[in-house]
Amino acid sequence: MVANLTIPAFAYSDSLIIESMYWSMNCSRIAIVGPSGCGKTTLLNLLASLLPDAPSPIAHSTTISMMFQEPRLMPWLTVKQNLQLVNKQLNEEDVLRLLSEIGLSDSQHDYPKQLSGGMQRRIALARAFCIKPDVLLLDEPFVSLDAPTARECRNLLLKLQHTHNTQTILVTHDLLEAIELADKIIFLSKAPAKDILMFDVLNAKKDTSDPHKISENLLACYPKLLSGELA
Amino acid sequence: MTQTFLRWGSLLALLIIWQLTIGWFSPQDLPSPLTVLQSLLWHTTQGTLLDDLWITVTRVLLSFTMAMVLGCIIGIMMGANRTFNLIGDGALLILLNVPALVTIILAYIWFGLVESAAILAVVINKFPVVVITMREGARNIDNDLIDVARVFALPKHRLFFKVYLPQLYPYIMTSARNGLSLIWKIVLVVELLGRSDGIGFALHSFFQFFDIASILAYTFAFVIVIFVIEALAFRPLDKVVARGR
Repeated sequence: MVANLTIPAFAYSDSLIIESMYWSMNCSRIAIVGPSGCGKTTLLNLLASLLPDAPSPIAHSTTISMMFQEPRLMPWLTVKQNLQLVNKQLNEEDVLRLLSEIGLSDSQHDYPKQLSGGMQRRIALARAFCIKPDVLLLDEPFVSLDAPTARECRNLLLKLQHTHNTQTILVTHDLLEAIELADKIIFLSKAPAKDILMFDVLNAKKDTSDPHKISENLLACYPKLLSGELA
Repeated sequence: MTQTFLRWGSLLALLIIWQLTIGWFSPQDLPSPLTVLQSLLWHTTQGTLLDDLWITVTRVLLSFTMAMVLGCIIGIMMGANRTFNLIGDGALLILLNVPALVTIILAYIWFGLVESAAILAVVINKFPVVVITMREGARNIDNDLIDVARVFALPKHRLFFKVYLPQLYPYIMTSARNGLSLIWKIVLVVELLGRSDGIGFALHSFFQFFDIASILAYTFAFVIVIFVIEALAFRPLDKVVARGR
């Protein structure tokens, strides 16, 4: 588990996108919430070492996995082949077990285009977990899904995270989603991204378990929080 | 059902039109379909058509493979790397616009009337066209999928063969299709100018005798070969490429 994270400043062609930050996040479920265009995705790409010339601040020995905004399955591979692509060691039984965990045991020979958007997300979730990651990065993984399907996917994520004991870092602009899926929320400012508030959800859940209530209370204190301002 | 009817019906219609028009020409200028068929049978059984066909098909397949491999490698390099593209772009433009005849004559003058010169001339004519298509393909690579491969730390060879190359399959199919039809036409010219066997050479002899029936018979023999290659190689490959897309 990543307990402390020192994020270096990141600039792209002379404009600063991320300021340097230090997070102590000793809990297994972190959410990062910020206004759109503040550099959330860039931050996640930095953690996944997908940015050119910017090594990830997460230690090299940590296995990192990621779920993107779109499912990003290889269209020319079947569901089974998509899973085996990222983890060659998966045998027939492993694939079936993973697929039954996400309730798609019958789809192993289907191509992604034959599946619905929600099913593709679930496959992407299974793929993210099948390399047994220490840290799973999620980039607004359930946007553009209808509410019931998104709910189903969120529950699935919680279940898989529980069974695999994986630390998750979720980026989202949806405060309710963050409250539901995280123990700790880091709020970011407008670009360049800088942490403005670290919110302990576990603590807040002691008073009320209703995410709406928690969100209301928080926004009552900081009305402009979601547009990246404290006061 | 309708599809098969349209496909074969149109060919049959062409045949009927041919049969109807022969009355206006002398049999020397335009032989009837039956005469051509007889000629085809004669050349197959008594003549050297099968040998000629075999030699030409070997040349076609050899130069086709070489042009495809070379064109794919250079095309991908140019599409993926700006520096390579800048270096190669000028030469590519020249190669694309040098007439086929010039490359063939130069190859024969420089390397002699030998097999390798013939193959080289064909390859030089074809591969720039492959490069153009493959460069376009490499420019359209979906980086989002490459990012997936990088996050999951796929080994380089698996990234190339399972994530990168499949995105180029449609482009490879396009250049293979265009390639085959272009190459066999050039191979005939190469044979006519500097080889003493193959269909091109045979056609040259028929030309000297104005033997139109034999010329058409040889043409049909080769068209049939191309049809067979299309049905046995390209159609099944099309299905593989289309899977999941």
